[in-house]
Amino acid sequence: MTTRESGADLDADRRAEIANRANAAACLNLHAALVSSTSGPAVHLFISSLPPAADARFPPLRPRLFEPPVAGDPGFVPWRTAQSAWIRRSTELAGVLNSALTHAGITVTLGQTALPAIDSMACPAVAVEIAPQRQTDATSADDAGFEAKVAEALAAALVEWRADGGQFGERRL
Amino acid sequence: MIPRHQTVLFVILLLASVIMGAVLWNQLRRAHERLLRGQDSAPTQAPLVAPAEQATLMVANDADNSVEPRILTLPLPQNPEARARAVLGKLLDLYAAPDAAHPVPGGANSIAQVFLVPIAEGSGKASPTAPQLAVVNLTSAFAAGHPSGLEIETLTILSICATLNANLPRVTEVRFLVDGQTRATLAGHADLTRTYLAAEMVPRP
Repeated sequence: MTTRESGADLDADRRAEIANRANAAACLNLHAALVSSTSGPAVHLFISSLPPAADARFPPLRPRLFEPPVAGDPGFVPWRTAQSAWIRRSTELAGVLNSALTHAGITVTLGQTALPAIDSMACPAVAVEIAPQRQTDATSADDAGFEAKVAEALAAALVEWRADGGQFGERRL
Repeated sequence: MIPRHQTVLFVILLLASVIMGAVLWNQLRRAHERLLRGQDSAPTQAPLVAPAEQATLMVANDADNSVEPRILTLPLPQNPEARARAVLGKLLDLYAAPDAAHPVPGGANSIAQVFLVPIAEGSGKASPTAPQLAVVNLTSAFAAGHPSGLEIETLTILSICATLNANLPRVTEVRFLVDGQTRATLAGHADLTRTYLAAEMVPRP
């Protein structure tokens, strides 16, 4: 599932909402840097910098005090820190992406960031910034060949993530 | 025909208004005189030259997405807030240099103020050694001129937080304002509404 099929932009909350409703097994937040500061093209992978939490949910609703909670109510998840319960899985996803991109000969850097879009996602989530080679003249910063290579590597990583779903996570794509 | 009692009431209120206006005018004049008397017309004290001290700047490098410490000798004021502003100003001066590894325009003037606020603990009272929240007030020109990108914005935030913690160890949390107002992101990516834990922003090997 993609959240942007046209020029219409969606805000970060809407993107996270779509991802959370889809019960996604993997969420990629794609960005394009204007120029790369490295000597060559690169991809920067970021996971959320929220502190990991075992379970960020508030307890399920109870109709009355001392009564059992409503059946099937999973409880509330704080919107702005929903990702904190998924940091471990997101780190694993970043590892799979890093492996696939490196295998494709692409320079990769790893880091943590405070990005509202992934902070609100209740799924393994990684922000991917594609940085083409620094342009020294007036040519376009777009590099179709590099982008295609990155897309292929990301697709291969997601296939692997899905195939190893039992090992890396509980849900499948 | 206006009843007599309303006429009397109107006159009383009018008189009260005039009297209150006269009292206020008199108090204003007295306050102005007190202010003038309190002004010290003597020449101001010459500014002290701040002694040079070692400062640790956590300098970002876009090439490898890293933040590395760089120790410089700088004239640093004794006041912690002024010291924080001076250190961050030097950091942004490095980024504004032509050959910077993390090129961000703006320089030292991009830090409008740094406020240090003690973080109250359970008792509600902050001790002299209590951890502090640093509120960094950036200028809107800096935010407007900052390059947009996930890596570059993240490194700017990371290096500011780490530099504050390296030079002012009591600073454990950092918040950002732009021209005194909260702002959603620095340049479209890095969240500026969050309270950053400065100690955790120091890069691990």
